[in-house]
Amino acid sequence: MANIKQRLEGAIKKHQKGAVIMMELPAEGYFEAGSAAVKFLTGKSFGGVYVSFQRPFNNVISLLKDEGVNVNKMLFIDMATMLSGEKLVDDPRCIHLSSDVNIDDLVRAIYSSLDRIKSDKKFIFIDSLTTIALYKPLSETMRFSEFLMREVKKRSNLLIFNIAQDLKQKRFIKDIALEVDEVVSLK
Amino acid sequence: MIKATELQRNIEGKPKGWMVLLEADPKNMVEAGVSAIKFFLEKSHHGIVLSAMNSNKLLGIYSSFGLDLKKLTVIDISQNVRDLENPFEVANVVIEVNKVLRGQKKGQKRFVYLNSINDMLAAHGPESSLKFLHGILTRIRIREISGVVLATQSTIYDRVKSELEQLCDRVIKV
Repeated sequence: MANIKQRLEGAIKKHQKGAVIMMELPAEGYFEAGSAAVKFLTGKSFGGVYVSFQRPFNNVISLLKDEGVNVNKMLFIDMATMLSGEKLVDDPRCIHLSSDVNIDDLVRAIYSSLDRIKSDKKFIFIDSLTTIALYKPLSETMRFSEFLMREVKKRSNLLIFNIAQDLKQKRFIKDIALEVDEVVSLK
Repeated sequence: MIKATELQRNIEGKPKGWMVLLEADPKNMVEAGVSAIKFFLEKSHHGIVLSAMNSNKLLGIYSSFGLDLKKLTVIDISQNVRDLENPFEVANVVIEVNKVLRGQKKGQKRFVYLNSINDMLAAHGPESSLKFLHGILTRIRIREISGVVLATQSTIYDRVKSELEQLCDRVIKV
C-alpha cells in the first residue's frame, strides 16, 4: 500500500488549500486499500468523517482497528445500516440520522460532524459513490458530490471519493472525475 | 473444488461478519459450493442457506453430496421473494434469518451461504439483485455472521462483478 501513501501525500502537498480526490481502488482488496488511505491520513494529524455506504459501523470499525487506524480521530456516518432500516449502534463515534435520510440531511450531518473533529486538518471519506447510486437516483448522487465538492473548497478540507477501479467507466463517475482535483488510480 | 486450507487462509484473523465471494467456473460451481459448506459443517457451524434456486432441488443436490441437512436451514428466496427492491420482502428474509438465530443454542457458530448470484441475476436483473444483496449483507454483518456468496463466471455476472467484489472481504476463484 506504499503507493497509496505516496499518491495521497503528493496530492495533499499540491493542493494545500483543500482538495477533492477520487481514489480508484482495485475491487479485490478494496477495503484494505481504502483503510491504508485512512491510516495514512490519521497518521498525518488528520481527523475525519467516514461516510460508509458499504458496511455497517461495527464491521468498519473492527476492520479499521485491525489495520491499525486510530479510529478515535474519526466520526462515522453509518449509511449502510440506515438504508437497511436496522437500528444504529449506540456509540459516540457513530452519528445518528433519521432512517429516511435525504441528501441534504446527509450533507448537513457531514459538516456538523466535521465541526466536532478536533484536528486542524480534516478529511471526509466517502465509501462509495457507486453504492449511493444503488439507493438514490443518479441526479441525487451527482447533487451530493457537487454539494460536497463546493463546501470542501470553501473550508479547505480534504474530500475523498472511493470507487472500485472497474466501475470508473460508469457515466456519472466519469462526470464527477472531471470535477475533482486529483484522480488517484491504484491497480 | 475449493481446498479447506484456501478458505481458512482467506478468513484467518478476519473479524466476525466477513464475506467471501466464491467465483467458480460453471463446471465446478456445485462442487465449489459444497466444499465451502463442508468446510463450515466440519467446524461445527450451522448453515443458513439463502437459495435463489428452488430449495428442493438444492437440498437434493446437497443430499447427493452427503451433506448433513439437519445442520442446514434453507430460506428459499426464489419462491418467497417476488420483488427484490421491496424493502418488506428483504425484511421478511431477515425475519426468517432471525427465527433461525433465535432457535439456536447460545454460542452456536453459524454461517450464511448464498446460492447463487447468477440465479438471482437471471430472475431479477442486476440493479435489484445488487440492492438486495447489499441490504442482506449489511444485515448479516450487523449480526456478526460470516459467510460465502457463490457466483459463476458468466456474461450476466460480469455486469455486477466489481460491485460485488468490493462488497466482500475476499474473492476466491476456483
